[in-house]
Amino acid sequence: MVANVGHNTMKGLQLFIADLRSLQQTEEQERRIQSEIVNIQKQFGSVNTLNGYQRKKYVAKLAYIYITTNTTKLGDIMFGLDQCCQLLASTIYSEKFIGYMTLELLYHHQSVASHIQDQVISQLKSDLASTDDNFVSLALNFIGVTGKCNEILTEELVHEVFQVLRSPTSAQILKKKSSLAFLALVKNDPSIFTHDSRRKQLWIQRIVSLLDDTANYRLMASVLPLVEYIAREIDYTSCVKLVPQLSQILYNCVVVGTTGSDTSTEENKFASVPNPWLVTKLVSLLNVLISSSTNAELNITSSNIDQNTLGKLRLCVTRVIEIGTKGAADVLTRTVQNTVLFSLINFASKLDPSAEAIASSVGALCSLLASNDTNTRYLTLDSLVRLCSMSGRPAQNAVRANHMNQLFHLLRNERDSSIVRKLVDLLYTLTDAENVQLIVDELLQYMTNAKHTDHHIRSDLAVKVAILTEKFANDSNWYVIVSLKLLSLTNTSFNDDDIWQRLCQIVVNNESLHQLTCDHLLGYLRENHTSEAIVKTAAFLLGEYVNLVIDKCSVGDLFNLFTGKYFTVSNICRAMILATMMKLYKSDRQIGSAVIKFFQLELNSLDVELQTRSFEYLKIIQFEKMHGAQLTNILFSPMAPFNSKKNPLLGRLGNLPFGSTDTVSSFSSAGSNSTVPTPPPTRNSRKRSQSYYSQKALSAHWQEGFHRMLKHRQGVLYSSSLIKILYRVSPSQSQPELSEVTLTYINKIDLPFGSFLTELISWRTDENPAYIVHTIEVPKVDIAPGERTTHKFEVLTRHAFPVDQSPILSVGFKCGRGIHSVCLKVGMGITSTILPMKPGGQPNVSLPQFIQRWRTISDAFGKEGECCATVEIQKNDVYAHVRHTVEKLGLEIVEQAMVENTLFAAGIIHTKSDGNFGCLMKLRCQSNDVNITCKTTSGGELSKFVVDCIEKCLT
Amino acid sequence: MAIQFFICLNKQGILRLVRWFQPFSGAAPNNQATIAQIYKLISTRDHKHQSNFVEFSDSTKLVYKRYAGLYFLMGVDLHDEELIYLSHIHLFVEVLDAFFGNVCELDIIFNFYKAYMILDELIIGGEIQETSKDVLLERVNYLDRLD
Repeated sequence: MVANVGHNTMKGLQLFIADLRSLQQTEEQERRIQSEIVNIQKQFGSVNTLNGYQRKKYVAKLAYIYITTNTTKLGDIMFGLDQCCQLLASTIYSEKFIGYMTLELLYHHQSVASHIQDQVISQLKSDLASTDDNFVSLALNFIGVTGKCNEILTEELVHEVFQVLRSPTSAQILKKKSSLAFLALVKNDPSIFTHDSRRKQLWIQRIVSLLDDTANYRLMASVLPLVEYIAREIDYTSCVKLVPQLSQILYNCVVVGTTGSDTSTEENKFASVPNPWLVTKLVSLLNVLISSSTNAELNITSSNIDQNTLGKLRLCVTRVIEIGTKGAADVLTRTVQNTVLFSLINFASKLDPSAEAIASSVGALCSLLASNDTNTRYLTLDSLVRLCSMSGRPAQNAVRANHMNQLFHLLRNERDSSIVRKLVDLLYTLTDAENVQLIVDELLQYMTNAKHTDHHIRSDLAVKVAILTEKFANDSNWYVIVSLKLLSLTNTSFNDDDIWQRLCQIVVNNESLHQLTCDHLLGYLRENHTSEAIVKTAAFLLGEYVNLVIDKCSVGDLFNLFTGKYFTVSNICRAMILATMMKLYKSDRQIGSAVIKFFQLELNSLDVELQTRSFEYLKIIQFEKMHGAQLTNILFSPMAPFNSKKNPLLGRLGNLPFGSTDTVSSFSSAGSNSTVPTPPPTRNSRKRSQSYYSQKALSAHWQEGFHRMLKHRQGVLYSSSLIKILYRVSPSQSQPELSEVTLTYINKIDLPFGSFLTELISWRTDENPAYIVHTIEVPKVDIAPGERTTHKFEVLTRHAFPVDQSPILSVGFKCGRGIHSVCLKVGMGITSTILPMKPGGQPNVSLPQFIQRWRTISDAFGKEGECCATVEIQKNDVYAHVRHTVEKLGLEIVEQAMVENTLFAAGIIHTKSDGNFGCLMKLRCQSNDVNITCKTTSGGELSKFVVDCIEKCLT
Repeated sequence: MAIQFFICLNKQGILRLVRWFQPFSGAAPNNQATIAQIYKLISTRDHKHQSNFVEFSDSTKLVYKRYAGLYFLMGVDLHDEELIYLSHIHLFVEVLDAFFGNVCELDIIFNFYKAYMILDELIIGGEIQETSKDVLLERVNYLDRLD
């Protein structure tokens, strides 16, 4: 009867739900659920085997019960798990679906997972291998949902899921799902990736190559999060080379896609603006890959991206600002515009923007502040805070110059407290010595007027105002007045001692402030309503400096003022007042009887602390009276200066950026109750270690091209059956330590190369590196058969380095089914900085000069900086070969006839940081041996580095 | 950058859909208490004058939107870009609307398993997997017709 009803109608389920809904009372519903559970239990336990439809229906009912009871009935439905597993094993899609769907809901409960784990895993394996794509989809969905909750799933299934991902025959939808399911599994246990380095490289290459199909934005959107995770957590270096490719995609999407009538990029768009999903994912990944220039020691920054790529990224930002400020008709378009805008502006500060570019970002953002839409205002402020903290002064100045009134206006009128909080953060970031009075006044104004501000904002505001006044005050009187005003505005729920304590410390330490502070405190005490923080401050400071106000207010009057406040404040504050009374008594014994009376009264206090204090103080007074000793003068001697220099409030800030002169790290993030936001995260600092350089396995026969390149300005760097790499080195005439290298890659076969990615690896990029490699132009990602592409970069030599630390070039590409890589050393040594003599030019060094310099260096350094070596050469005419090689390197031959078979040569080594060095050399040829003696005007290892280069070139 | 959980509640705080994409590390001892806290937070906010984003814990902020009597909300990382998640929610609601034809709470109650089917085609492992409404609709209509 029910045999051919699809899963779109399960009548029993619909009836049950309708039944439950008709019951008004919770108890009735509860009873109905219980009776249904009993019924299902009976059905599952009965001897008559259930058919698939019935099983599906009952399991679906259990799932509904789980949801509708807000997941509280888990224990009551556990009995159905086995039936769920039976559904998984069904060959009917709708039954399998209900099985998976129910388990997706329940599987994150440990009790569920441990109960049926084995059955589920074996079913998942079988479904992943199924020929029915719909079954594979269900299994992948399940893994995507539950993957992160259960480590065993990773161990058991990661290979199967990867198989779906990498298989060229998998349907697109399966690739998308498997990419994200794989990500869920890997997040669980990243070590599955890293404990086998060969597998890691293989997997990463496969995954990265999925981004190749630049027309397929669908697949890309699902692969990008996986790549981002790899870049962030697993292997940053193997993802860095994607920057040019990703930038191109972003450029296509944002710039090309929105100009002209390019219809091929329709998929790129969403409501006629760039596809926000793709853009946010691309930018998010680029954000991970590109470090901000303030963290320059890490990896790549705007300064070592090639200019072309950087240019494209900057154009994207400009374009998005144009689009974003255009205004949009409907809410949806506006949301999308803003998504893209915020995403790119938040990223833009990493692109080393000019002051104008920053000002234009600021302008675009501030124009959105007037928006009626709350979300837009909120996010705009968020974005401004980030911009001002990341780009520092230029951004802050742009806001200060033109937009302060707008911000104040917003502060006065904004009703959303989360926006106010962001605004306060922004104002805080913008404060400097010049505008501190203005900003603090506005903030105090806000605290005074705002009626419905929540407690968190008030406390946050108070802390910030306190810090700003202390940090930027150029007038200490102003500091005191504002701080007291601030304390007077805090209400009773504001239970924060840091601010008044800090004020007291500063006042105690600065004698010039004593009088002014005491006068103002007296004024506040005389008001009807005095905030508790003021009472505490007054109790402490007026107690200390009674004599300063004695002409305005007698000790007796002061005592009365404090007694008046005593019953309006908390116990802690009362305890302070009791101590103050003792201090008052100390300065004027005439109030003794009133003080004694008060303490006696407080002996009956319910609070132990107050009782104890009163008792002790009474005893002290009695003791004094009986023995005539000056006990109070000793016990309440004047306060010594505080020695705490650091403002304790700073700890409360978290790491909100503070001006641009301070480093964020100077704030401890200890006070975790802070409610301020943190600046956008930068990637965890993970330095590229030298081991990365050392671990690179070089391709066979790499030496050939390497030696050639050291010696000749152009030629073949590498050649295999697939690819040929040509090079040309052009040293800059004006700056010989800088050489431009052009590499040309030629596809030698009939198949196109895809995902052609290159990477240049320096021996070291941090801690004063010997040379810096800067990419100018990256090769194309695809190379058609017979086609070529060029790759340009500069090498700047900063100081001398051994030739075996030359940069490494790593090239990876896809061709047919295979993935190939070539890894070579680039022949750039210290001798590459020798500027060759112009052909036919006059010799620079004459023989007498050579002999004289040789002697001078010997006198200065002795044998210290000298290097001798013997090289064996298998050539007929050794002398001619050596002479040719030395000339090729750019050294100048000093003609001489004094010593036979010996060459004298001279040259200048150029370095950026250490300056230039003269280099002199004698090369004596004897049958097949060459004895080299080299001296340089640097005492160190330089001559050895030069000789190493020459040896490499001679052999 | 990923969705930590997705929840759909009605105005009375009754759970309609729930999906945890990672073990929840909130202050609350269990998921039920977390859901109750979320409801308390969201339902007290002013929907005209407050944004659709609110910080929920040290590791999570909520991006939410109310459509008629239903709240759709996602928990995301603090550093994530909020707006794109709002677009996720909107897309989900649009697909629900087109699939059921002028969707209402009752559709989601009686056909909760279909709502999950749609959700699974939209988001997997906390990441969005398809962003085209047409492609999604075609896919779920196809799956819905399978026996």
